[in-house]
Amino acid sequence: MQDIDLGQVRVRTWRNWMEDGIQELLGGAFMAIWGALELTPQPYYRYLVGLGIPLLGVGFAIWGRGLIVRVKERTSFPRTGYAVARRPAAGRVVAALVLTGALIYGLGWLGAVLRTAGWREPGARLVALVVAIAWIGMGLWYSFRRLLLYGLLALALGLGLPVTAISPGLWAGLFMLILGLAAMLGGSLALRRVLRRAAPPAEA
Amino acid sequence: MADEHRRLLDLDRTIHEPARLTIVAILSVLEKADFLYVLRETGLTKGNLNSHMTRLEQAGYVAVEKTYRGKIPQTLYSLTKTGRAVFTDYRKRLREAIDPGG
Repeated sequence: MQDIDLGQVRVRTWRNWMEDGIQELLGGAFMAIWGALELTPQPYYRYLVGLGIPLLGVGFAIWGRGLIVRVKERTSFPRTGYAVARRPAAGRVVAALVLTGALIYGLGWLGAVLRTAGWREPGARLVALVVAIAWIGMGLWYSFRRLLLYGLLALALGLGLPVTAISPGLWAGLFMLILGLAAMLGGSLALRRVLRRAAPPAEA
Repeated sequence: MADEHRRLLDLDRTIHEPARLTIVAILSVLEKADFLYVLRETGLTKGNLNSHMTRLEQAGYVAVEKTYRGKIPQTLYSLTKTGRAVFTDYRKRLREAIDPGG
């Protein structure tokens, strides 16, 4: 029997859920499609971005988790054991949505204030900073180096904006596309490693 | 007897056993998990895990679902509402007993 540390048991269980990289693979695909839509040239831009992104977001929010579990059932679960992470309570989901809304509004406001103070494109850099902090925080909490790398990449993209001549709209599309592709690549490598390491076991 | 000591005596004995505590702690963050996953995570033997799961099932803390994945039998476990409530209560009581001021 292993030692019991309830906090560690929880972290390890969450770590197992994320270890195979399938969330990043599918979440990365979602981000890459979003980024590609943002980069779609006129005159399709308005229709695709205006309709496509909200539909994509709602679709991923409703079916994303089910899709992730389905893919896990076919790939990693037969090898690592079947374990589906618990859905967060409804109250937490609402709190997360409110917090996200407040964050977006707050960043918009802060960006406008900084722009008035003479900063160039502060909004984009703030977004990159928040995304980087989220990835790096998760990477440190769960001890996944690849999450740290996504965080550093987001930071580099944010810091790189002032030295390039691209517009914030183009930057937003590239930001999502590059981060999405990086997450897909990292997720694929993680999945490959998990599948190579563990042979499918049979229940006795 | 001091209140905190009485709280320790009131702890749920079914959950308090270390192996079952580990099983319940693992299941508490999961919607459901199969036998192999819990076996790997706890490091228990198959027989030991089976007997602890039976005990938890009898107490009404764990729900068992027997199914097949292809031709391989699969046993899925999940915490029941009672099990989740008892585990939350257990943690609260233990925390109060160990750190009454905190």
